[in-house]
Amino acid sequence: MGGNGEQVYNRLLVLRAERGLSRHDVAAAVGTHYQTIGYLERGEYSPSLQLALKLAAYFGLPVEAIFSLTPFTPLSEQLYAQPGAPGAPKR
Amino acid sequence: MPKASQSKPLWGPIPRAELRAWQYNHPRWNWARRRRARRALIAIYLLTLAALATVGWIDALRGGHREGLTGTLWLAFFVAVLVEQAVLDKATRGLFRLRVGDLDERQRAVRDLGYRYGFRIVAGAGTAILAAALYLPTDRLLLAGTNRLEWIAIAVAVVYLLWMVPTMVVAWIEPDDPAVDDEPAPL
Repeated sequence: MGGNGEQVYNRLLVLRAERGLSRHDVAAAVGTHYQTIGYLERGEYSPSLQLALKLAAYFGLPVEAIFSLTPFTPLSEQLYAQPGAPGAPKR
Repeated sequence: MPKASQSKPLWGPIPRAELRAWQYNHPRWNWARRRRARRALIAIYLLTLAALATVGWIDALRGGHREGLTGTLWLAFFVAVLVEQAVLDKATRGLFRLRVGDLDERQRAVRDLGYRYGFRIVAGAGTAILAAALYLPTDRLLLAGTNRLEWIAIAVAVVYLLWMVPTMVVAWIEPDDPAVDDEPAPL
Protein backbone atom coordinates (compact mmCIF):
# COMPACT_ATOMS: atom_id res chain seq x y z
CA MET A 1 0.00 0.00 0.00
CA GLY A 2 1.07 3.58 -0.42
CA GLY A 3 2.13 5.89 -3.18
CA ASN A 4 1.21 5.13 -6.76
CA GLY A 5 1.91 1.42 -6.49
CA GLU A 6 5.53 1.74 -7.62
CA GLN A 7 7.91 -0.15 -5.38
CA VAL A 8 10.29 1.98 -3.33
CA TYR A 9 13.33 0.05 -2.11
CA ASN A 10 15.05 0.99 1.12
CA ARG A 11 17.94 0.14 3.42
CA LEU A 12 16.14 0.74 6.69
CA LEU A 13 16.71 -2.75 8.08
CA VAL A 14 20.45 -2.59 7.37
CA LEU A 15 20.76 0.87 8.91
CA ARG A 16 18.79 -0.19 11.97
CA ALA A 17 20.96 -3.25 12.42
CA GLU A 18 24.19 -1.28 11.97
CA ARG A 19 23.20 1.20 14.64
CA GLY A 20 21.60 -1.24 17.08
CA LEU A 21 18.18 0.36 16.94
CA SER A 22 14.77 -1.18 17.48
CA ARG A 23 11.71 -0.33 15.42
CA HIS A 24 10.34 1.47 18.46
CA ASP A 25 13.44 3.71 18.57
CA VAL A 26 13.19 4.68 14.92
CA ALA A 27 9.41 5.09 15.06
CA ALA A 28 9.56 7.34 18.14
CA ALA A 29 12.24 9.50 16.51
CA VAL A 30 10.24 10.14 13.34
CA GLY A 31 6.80 10.22 14.98
CA THR A 32 5.26 7.14 13.43
CA HIS A 33 3.92 3.78 14.56
CA TYR A 34 6.54 1.05 14.99
CA GLN A 35 4.53 -1.27 12.75
CA THR A 36 4.87 1.28 9.96
CA ILE A 37 8.65 0.92 10.20
CA GLY A 38 8.12 -2.84 9.86
CA TYR A 39 5.94 -2.40 6.77
CA LEU A 40 8.56 -0.06 5.28
CA GLU A 41 11.31 -2.63 5.87
CA ARG A 42 9.21 -5.34 4.23
CA GLY A 43 8.58 -3.09 1.23
CA GLU A 44 4.82 -3.19 1.86
CA TYR A 45 4.53 0.54 2.29
CA SER A 46 6.11 3.45 0.46
CA PRO A 47 6.72 6.48 2.67
CA SER A 48 5.58 10.01 2.00
CA LEU A 49 8.28 12.53 1.11
CA GLN A 50 7.94 13.98 4.61
CA LEU A 51 8.56 10.63 6.31
CA ALA A 52 11.44 9.81 3.95
CA LEU A 53 13.09 13.16 4.76
CA LYS A 54 12.55 12.63 8.50
CA LEU A 55 14.19 9.20 8.29
CA ALA A 56 17.10 10.61 6.26
CA ALA A 57 17.59 13.38 8.82
CA TYR A 58 17.42 10.87 11.68
CA PHE A 59 20.10 8.65 10.17
CA GLY A 60 22.12 11.65 8.99
CA LEU A 61 22.19 10.40 5.40
CA PRO A 62 20.94 11.73 2.07
CA VAL A 63 17.50 10.38 1.09
CA GLU A 64 18.91 8.54 -1.91
CA ALA A 65 21.21 6.56 0.41
CA ILE A 66 18.13 5.11 2.13
CA PHE A 67 15.43 5.03 -0.57
CA SER A 68 15.63 4.12 -4.24
CA LEU A 69 13.29 3.28 -7.10
CA THR A 70 15.68 0.52 -8.19
CA PRO A 71 16.95 -2.33 -6.01
CA PHE A 72 20.06 -1.52 -3.99
CA THR A 73 23.34 -3.30 -4.64
CA PRO A 74 24.40 -5.04 -1.42
CA LEU A 75 26.76 -2.81 0.57
CA SER A 76 29.45 -5.51 0.77
CA GLU A 77 29.41 -5.77 -3.01
CA GLN A 78 29.61 -2.01 -3.43
CA LEU A 79 32.60 -1.78 -1.09
CA TYR A 80 34.61 -4.92 -1.72
CA ALA A 81 33.56 -6.60 -4.97
CA GLN A 82 36.44 -7.36 -7.32
CA PRO A 83 35.75 -7.23 -11.05
CA GLY A 84 35.65 -10.70 -12.59
CA ALA A 85 35.04 -12.51 -9.31
CA PRO A 86 32.13 -14.98 -9.25
CA GLY A 87 29.01 -13.11 -8.16
CA ALA A 88 30.50 -9.71 -9.01
CA PRO A 89 28.09 -7.25 -10.64
CA LYS A 90 28.13 -7.32 -14.45
CA ARG A 91 28.56 -3.90 -15.96
CA MET B 1 24.05 9.33 15.74
CA PRO B 2 20.70 8.49 17.31
CA LYS B 3 20.51 6.94 20.74
CA ALA B 4 19.30 3.38 21.04
CA SER B 5 17.02 3.98 24.01
CA GLN B 6 14.78 6.81 25.11
CA SER B 7 13.93 7.40 28.73
CA LYS B 8 10.44 8.28 29.94
CA PRO B 9 9.43 9.67 33.31
CA LEU B 10 8.20 6.92 35.62
CA TRP B 11 5.46 9.03 37.21
CA GLY B 12 2.86 11.45 35.97
CA PRO B 13 -0.51 11.36 34.26
CA ILE B 14 -0.74 9.33 31.06
CA PRO B 15 -2.05 11.44 28.17
CA ARG B 16 -5.47 10.25 27.01
CA ALA B 17 -4.40 9.72 23.40
CA GLU B 18 -1.46 7.62 24.55
CA LEU B 19 -3.72 5.54 26.77
CA ARG B 20 -6.16 4.88 23.91
CA ALA B 21 -3.32 3.95 21.57
CA TRP B 22 -1.89 1.66 24.26
CA GLN B 23 -5.24 -0.12 24.64
CA TYR B 24 -5.51 -0.80 20.92
CA ASN B 25 -1.85 -1.81 20.52
CA HIS B 26 -1.58 -4.08 23.54
CA PRO B 27 0.47 -7.21 22.70
CA ARG B 28 -2.20 -9.36 24.41
CA TRP B 29 -4.18 -9.12 21.15
CA ASN B 30 -1.33 -10.08 18.81
CA TRP B 31 -3.00 -13.45 18.15
CA ALA B 32 -5.97 -11.58 16.63
CA ARG B 33 -3.72 -9.49 14.38
CA ARG B 34 -2.68 -12.40 12.18
CA ARG B 35 -4.46 -12.25 8.86
CA ARG B 36 -5.92 -15.73 9.24
CA ALA B 37 -7.29 -14.88 12.69
CA ARG B 38 -8.72 -11.60 11.41
CA ARG B 39 -10.52 -13.36 8.57
CA ALA B 40 -11.88 -15.98 10.96
CA LEU B 41 -13.13 -13.19 13.23
CA ILE B 42 -14.96 -11.60 10.29
CA ALA B 43 -16.65 -14.91 9.47
CA ILE B 44 -17.68 -15.40 13.11
CA TYR B 45 -18.96 -11.83 13.31
CA LEU B 46 -21.10 -12.21 10.17
CA LEU B 47 -22.50 -15.53 11.39
CA THR B 48 -23.34 -14.00 14.77
CA LEU B 49 -25.13 -11.09 13.06
CA ALA B 50 -27.12 -13.54 10.93
CA ALA B 51 -28.03 -15.50 14.07
CA LEU B 52 -28.98 -12.26 15.86
CA ALA B 53 -31.31 -11.24 13.02
CA THR B 54 -32.85 -14.73 12.76
CA VAL B 55 -33.45 -15.13 16.48
CA GLY B 56 -34.75 -11.54 16.69
CA TRP B 57 -37.14 -12.29 13.83
CA ILE B 58 -38.43 -15.47 15.49
CA ASP B 59 -38.78 -13.61 18.79
CA ALA B 60 -40.73 -10.84 17.02
CA LEU B 61 -43.08 -13.44 15.53
CA ARG B 62 -43.73 -14.70 19.06
CA GLY B 63 -44.66 -11.24 20.31
CA GLY B 64 -41.24 -9.69 20.74
CA HIS B 65 -41.14 -9.78 24.53
CA ARG B 66 -37.50 -10.94 24.62
CA GLU B 67 -38.58 -13.72 26.95
CA GLY B 68 -38.05 -17.47 26.92
CA LEU B 69 -35.44 -19.22 24.81
CA THR B 70 -35.48 -16.78 21.87
CA GLY B 71 -35.15 -13.79 24.19
CA THR B 72 -32.20 -15.32 26.03
CA LEU B 73 -30.57 -16.35 22.75
CA TRP B 74 -31.07 -12.87 21.28
CA LEU B 75 -29.39 -11.31 24.31
CA ALA B 76 -26.52 -13.82 24.13
CA PHE B 77 -25.95 -13.10 20.43
CA PHE B 78 -26.15 -9.35 21.07
CA VAL B 79 -23.44 -9.56 23.74
CA ALA B 80 -21.38 -11.77 21.39
CA VAL B 81 -21.66 -9.10 18.67
CA LEU B 82 -20.35 -6.44 21.05
CA VAL B 83 -17.46 -8.66 22.19
CA GLU B 84 -16.55 -9.57 18.60
CA GLN B 85 -16.64 -5.90 17.60
CA ALA B 86 -14.21 -5.09 20.40
CA VAL B 87 -11.86 -7.90 19.31
CA LEU B 88 -12.02 -6.77 15.66
CA ASP B 89 -11.13 -3.25 16.78
CA LYS B 90 -8.14 -4.61 18.69
CA ALA B 91 -7.17 -6.75 15.68
CA THR B 92 -7.08 -3.63 13.48
CA ARG B 93 -5.33 -1.57 16.19
CA GLY B 94 -8.32 0.73 16.63
CA LEU B 95 -7.89 2.32 13.19
CA PHE B 96 -11.57 3.31 13.17
CA ARG B 97 -11.82 4.16 16.86
CA LEU B 98 -8.74 6.32 17.40
CA ARG B 99 -8.74 9.98 16.38
CA VAL B 100 -7.09 10.86 13.09
CA GLY B 101 -4.44 12.81 14.99
CA ASP B 102 -3.45 9.64 16.86
CA LEU B 103 -2.71 7.78 13.62
CA ASP B 104 0.40 7.98 11.47
CA GLU B 105 0.40 8.44 7.69
CA ARG B 106 0.22 4.72 6.86
CA GLN B 107 -2.60 4.11 9.32
CA ARG B 108 -4.54 7.08 7.93
CA ALA B 109 -4.06 5.73 4.41
CA VAL B 110 -5.31 2.27 5.49
CA ARG B 111 -8.30 3.83 7.22
CA ASP B 112 -9.18 5.84 4.09
CA LEU B 113 -8.91 2.67 2.04
CA GLY B 114 -11.31 0.92 4.45
CA TYR B 115 -13.86 3.71 4.11
CA ARG B 116 -13.47 3.81 0.31
CA TYR B 117 -13.90 0.08 -0.24
CA GLY B 118 -16.57 -0.05 2.48
CA PHE B 119 -18.59 2.62 0.70
CA ARG B 120 -18.34 0.71 -2.58
CA ILE B 121 -19.46 -2.54 -0.94
CA VAL B 122 -22.42 -0.91 0.81
CA ALA B 123 -23.39 1.07 -2.30
CA GLY B 124 -23.14 -2.08 -4.44
CA ALA B 125 -25.19 -4.17 -2.02
CA GLY B 126 -27.79 -1.41 -1.66
CA THR B 127 -28.13 -1.08 -5.43
CA ALA B 128 -28.48 -4.85 -5.82
CA ILE B 129 -31.21 -4.98 -3.15
CA LEU B 130 -33.07 -2.06 -4.75
CA ALA B 131 -32.83 -3.65 -8.18
CA ALA B 132 -34.13 -6.95 -6.81
CA ALA B 133 -36.97 -5.13 -5.03
CA LEU B 134 -37.97 -3.40 -8.28
CA TYR B 135 -38.30 -6.65 -10.19
CA LEU B 136 -39.98 -8.73 -7.49
CA PRO B 137 -43.78 -8.65 -7.18
CA THR B 138 -44.71 -6.66 -4.05
CA ASP B 139 -46.40 -9.61 -2.35
CA ARG B 140 -43.28 -11.74 -2.70
CA LEU B 141 -40.86 -9.21 -1.21
CA LEU B 142 -38.98 -10.64 1.74
CA LEU B 143 -40.02 -7.88 4.09
CA ALA B 144 -43.54 -7.34 2.76
CA GLY B 145 -46.07 -7.59 5.55
CA THR B 146 -43.49 -7.43 8.33
CA ASN B 147 -44.49 -5.66 11.48
CA ARG B 148 -42.49 -3.07 13.41
CA LEU B 149 -40.81 -5.59 15.73
CA GLU B 150 -39.66 -7.77 12.83
CA TRP B 151 -38.22 -4.70 11.15
CA ILE B 152 -36.33 -3.78 14.33
CA ALA B 153 -34.90 -7.31 14.58
CA ILE B 154 -33.44 -6.96 11.07
CA ALA B 155 -32.45 -3.32 11.50
CA VAL B 156 -30.34 -4.02 14.63
CA ALA B 157 -28.23 -6.56 12.73
CA VAL B 158 -27.97 -4.35 9.64
CA VAL B 159 -26.85 -1.32 11.66
CA TYR B 160 -24.12 -3.34 13.35
CA LEU B 161 -23.11 -4.76 9.98
CA LEU B 162 -22.86 -1.32 8.33
CA TRP B 163 -21.00 0.10 11.31
CA MET B 164 -18.28 -2.52 10.97
CA VAL B 165 -17.91 -2.72 7.18
CA PRO B 166 -14.77 -0.50 6.97
CA THR B 167 -13.18 -2.37 9.89
CA MET B 168 -13.92 -5.71 8.22
CA VAL B 169 -12.47 -4.47 4.92
CA VAL B 170 -9.20 -3.54 6.60
CA ALA B 171 -9.15 -6.72 8.69
CA TRP B 172 -9.56 -8.72 5.48
CA ILE B 173 -6.99 -7.02 3.23
CA GLU B 174 -4.20 -6.03 5.60
CA PRO B 175 -1.12 -8.29 5.47
CA ASP B 176 0.23 -9.95 8.59
CA ASP B 177 1.66 -7.52 11.10
CA PRO B 178 5.44 -7.31 11.07
CA ALA B 179 6.81 -9.34 13.99
CA VAL B 180 6.78 -7.57 17.32
CA ASP B 181 10.29 -6.23 17.65
CA ASP B 182 11.45 -4.26 20.64
CA GLU B 183 15.06 -5.26 20.11
CA PRO B 184 17.60 -3.91 17.64
CA ALA B 185 17.70 -5.74 14.31
CA PRO B 186 20.28 -8.58 14.31
CA LEU B 187 23.42 -8.01 12.30
